Amino acid sequence: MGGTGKMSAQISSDSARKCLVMLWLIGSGALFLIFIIQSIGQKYGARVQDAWGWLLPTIMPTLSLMVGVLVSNAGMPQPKTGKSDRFIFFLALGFSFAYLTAVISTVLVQPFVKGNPLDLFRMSSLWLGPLQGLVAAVLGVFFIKAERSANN
Amino acid sequence: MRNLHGQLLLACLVACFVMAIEGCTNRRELAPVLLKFPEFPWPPPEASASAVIPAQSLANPKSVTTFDDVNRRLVGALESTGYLERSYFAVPGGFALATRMEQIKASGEPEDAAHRWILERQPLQKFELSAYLAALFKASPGRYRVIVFIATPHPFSQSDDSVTSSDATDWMREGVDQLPVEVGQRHFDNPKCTALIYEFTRTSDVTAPELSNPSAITGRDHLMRAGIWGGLAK
Repeated sequence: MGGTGKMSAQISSDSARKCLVMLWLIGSGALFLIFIIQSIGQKYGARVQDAWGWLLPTIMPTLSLMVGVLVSNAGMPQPKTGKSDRFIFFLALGFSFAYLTAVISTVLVQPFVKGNPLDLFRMSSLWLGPLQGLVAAVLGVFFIKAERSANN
Repeated sequence: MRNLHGQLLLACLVACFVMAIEGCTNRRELAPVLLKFPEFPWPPPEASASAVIPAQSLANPKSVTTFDDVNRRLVGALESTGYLERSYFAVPGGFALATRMEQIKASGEPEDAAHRWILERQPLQKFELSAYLAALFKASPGRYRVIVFIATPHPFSQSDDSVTSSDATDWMREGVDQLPVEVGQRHFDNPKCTALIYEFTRTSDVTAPELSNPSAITGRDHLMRAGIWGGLAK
């Protein structure tokens, strides 16, 4: 029973990693697509760099970390039996989903907000900054644990 | 008894003296403070368009024309077309009248009453997919206009100085609300008045409107589509 319980508290590291990376790629892809169309539509006019200057630091550090880990692992043989803590995985997944939802919502809510959208972006760093820190911490723990599990 | 009357009389005199002094002091405080007639930048900054208003539209047919007559004609034409706020400045030999910045259509007509005087980008009030997508992906451009009427017998040209939308908005605050009496009483034979149109275009949601120079339409078209030209002709 104890063995079964322990098994159910774990998840395949490979699947968990891919799931997280897919979530980030989809979320970031949607954001990039919106920003590209907005840039072409002159939404931000001469201040298009300011808009991208908000987006890139918002998603690129975490996305780069995850893609980097995935690519580095792709080059070496991985044991298929590597397991990750299910709780840490769902925590990372939940935080990632909440963070990406908050970022996308900030962009999508623009038409209903009075004033300059860049001011909204600047203000959003109040809640996105702490959330980004939490996401990075949880993802870091997840990937380190997954790596250790694969090496043992 | 006589002593008491004397004391009462003295008290009344002292009271009257004190009240008189206080009255003088208060009058001094309440005396109208003559504001300096603020000067309009001279020569005026380059405008998007201009139009010379015919003298017969401004002259007083019954007697000698004064600046006050010209002002009355201008104000009458402006108020009949919804320009209820204005600001006056001094220019060499006369005065300048600036209207409040308004939002206009590409044709030069003022925007609908609900949006005419709103300068900021307005958020969507209700969700409609097409309007939402347009607001999300495209800039909501805007056109704005300030008209400055310059009444002076002196010919003038425009300077190279470029005016920002913020400067033009501030003209409403910086000028005085009515033509000073001493200016209005001056004679203005063969009255000359030039309307300078400052048109601003906002091309994106995050940038300030910039001066359109030259305007896509002439100064006279601006005045005609604003209804002012017709108002002056009446």
